[in-house]
Amino acid sequence: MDFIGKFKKLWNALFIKGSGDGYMRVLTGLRNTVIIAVCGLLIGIVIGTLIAVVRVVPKTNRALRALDKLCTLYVAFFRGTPMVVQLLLGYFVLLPLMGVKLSSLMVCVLIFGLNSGAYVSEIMRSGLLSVDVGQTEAGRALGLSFSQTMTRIVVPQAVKNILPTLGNEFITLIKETSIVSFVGAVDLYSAFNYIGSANYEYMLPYLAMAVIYIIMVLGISGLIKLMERRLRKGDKR
Amino acid sequence: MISVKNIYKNFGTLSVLKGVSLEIEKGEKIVIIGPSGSGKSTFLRCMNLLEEPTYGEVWVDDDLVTPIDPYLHADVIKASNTFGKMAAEAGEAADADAIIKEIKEKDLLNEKHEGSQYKKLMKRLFKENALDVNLARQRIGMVFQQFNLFNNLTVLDNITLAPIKLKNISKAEAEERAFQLLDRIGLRDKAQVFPAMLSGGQKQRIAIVRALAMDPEIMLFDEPTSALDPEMVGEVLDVMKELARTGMTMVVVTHEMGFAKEVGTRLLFMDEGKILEDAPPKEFFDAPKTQRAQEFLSKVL
Ligand SMILES: Nc1ncnc2c1ncn2[C@@H]1O[C@H](COP(=O)(O)OP(=O)(O)O)[C@@H](O)[C@H]1O
Ligand SMILES: [Mg+2]
Repeated sequence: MDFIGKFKKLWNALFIKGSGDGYMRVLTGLRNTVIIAVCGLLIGIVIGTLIAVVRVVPKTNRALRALDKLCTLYVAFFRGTPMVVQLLLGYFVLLPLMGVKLSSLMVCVLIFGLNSGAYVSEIMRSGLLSVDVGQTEAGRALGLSFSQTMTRIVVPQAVKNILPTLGNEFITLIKETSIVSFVGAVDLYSAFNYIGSANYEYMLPYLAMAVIYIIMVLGISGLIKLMERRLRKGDKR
Repeated sequence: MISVKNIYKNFGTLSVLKGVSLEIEKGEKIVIIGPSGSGKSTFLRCMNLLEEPTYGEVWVDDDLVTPIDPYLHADVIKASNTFGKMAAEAGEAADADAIIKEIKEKDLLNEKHEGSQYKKLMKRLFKENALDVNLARQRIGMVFQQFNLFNNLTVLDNITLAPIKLKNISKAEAEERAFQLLDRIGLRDKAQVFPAMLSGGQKQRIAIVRALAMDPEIMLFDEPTSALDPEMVGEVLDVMKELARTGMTMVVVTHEMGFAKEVGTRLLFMDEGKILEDAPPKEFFDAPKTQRAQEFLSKVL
C-alpha cells in the first residue's frame, strides 16, 4: 500500500487543498465535540441532581409522588432509546412542532444534556444514598431546611463520592458526539468524513479520527485519576 | 418548657412508643436510662420531630411542634361525624364523656369521614398553635451518638453554618462566637481542620458546641459517649457537666450511671416504649420500684 501517497493526500486535504479548510473543519469538529460534551454534562448534572433529589425524598404527599412517577418515566425514556433517535426526534419532530428555530449545535447540546440528565440522576441517586443519613439529621436538627441541608451538606458529599463515575459519563458523552452529524452538526466524524470524501481516501482520515478520540479519552481518564487521588488525600476516614 | 403529650410511635406494625408523656421544666437535667430497644432514641427524636409521632403532641412553651392530635382535644372529637353518629344512636341516654372515651380507646376517628366541622376545627387549632418545625428545632439542640459532624466542612464551618444561615448574623460575628465556644472546650487550634482528622472525643465536643452555637433553650443528648473509646468518655462528660452548671435544660440518654447520679435532677426509666419510673436519681438507684428496673440495674451496675 502506498502509505506515503495516502499521507500526502491527507496532509493536502488538511492544510493545503481548498485554502486549508480541512484542518479548520477538524478544529471546528473538535470544538463542537468539547462544547457538546461539556455543556451536555453540566446540564445533565443539574437535571440529574434535581431528579435524584425527587427520587430520594420521602414521598409525603400526592404532588411528590406524581413528580416521582414523572421522573421515572423521563429516565426510562432517555435510557431506553438510542441517543440518535432522541437527537432525530428533537431536531426533526419536536422543534418543528414547537415552531422553534435552533442551530443544530444547540439542539445537540440540549439533547445531550437531557439524555445525560437521565444517566446522571441514577449516578447521583446512588451518591446521595451513599451519604450517611446522620449528616441530614444533624442538619435538620440544627433547624436547617431540607434544601439548605441538601445544598450545603449532602449534595457536596454525594458529588465527591461519584466524581469518578461522573468522569466516565463525560467520556461516554465525548464518544457519543460522533452521532451529531445526523442532524447536520460538524464534529470530528463529519470533519474527517469530509476530508476523506474530498479525494475518496478514507483510511488515514478515520485512523487520525480514532487517534484523536483515544488521546482525548486517555487524557480525561488521567485527569479523573489525579482528582480521585487528590480527594482521597483530603479524607482519611 | 417542653411538654410531650401522650406520644405513640409505630414503625409499620412495630409499636415503639406506647403513650409517653413528659413535662420538662426550665433548668431540669433529665437522664433517661433503659434497655436497648426500649424506645429512648425514638422518644428524643420525636421531641425535635426527626420522627413524627403517630399519635400525641409535642409543645415547646406555647407552640405546637407536631400536627394536632384530635384525640387530645375533646372539642375536636365532639365535632366529628363519628361522635355525631354515636350520640344519635345512643339517643336520649347519650353521655358525651363516655362516647369520647370510647372513641379514644378504640381509635375510631378516620380523617376522611369526619366532616367539615371537624376539619375546620383541626385547621384552626393548627393555625393558632403550630410553630414551623425549623424554628422549633433552632430552639432544641441535639447531640448524636455518632457525632454527625459535617464531613465536607471544617470545624469552624460546622459551627457557623447554621447560625449564619438561620440567625441573621454576619460571618465575622458567627466566627467570633465559634472561637469563644472552641476556647471553652480547648479546641481553638482545630478550627480549620476537617472532622476526619479528629478523635472521637474531639468530634463529640465539637458536636456539642455546634449545637450550642444556635443558642438553644434545651439540649438533647442521645448516648453521647457510647461510640467513644473509654479514655475519651471523660472529656465529653466534663463538657456536659460544665454545660449543666450553666443552667442549660438537658435531656440525656446514657448508660453512664455516675453521670446520672451526679448531674441528673430527674431520672426516667424506660422499658418497652413506656416510662416506668420517674424519680430523683438517688431515690431510683437506692430503691427502684418496678421489677424491670431492678433487673436492669442488676445487669448494668
Ligand atoms: N426508623 C425505624 N424503622 C423501623 N424500626 C425502628 C426505626 N427506628 C427505631 N426502630 C425500632 O424501634 C425500637 C426502639 O428503638 P430505639 O428508639 O432506637 O431504642 P433505644 O434507643 O432505646 O435503644 C427498636 O426495636 C428499633 O429497631
Ligand atoms: Mg438509642
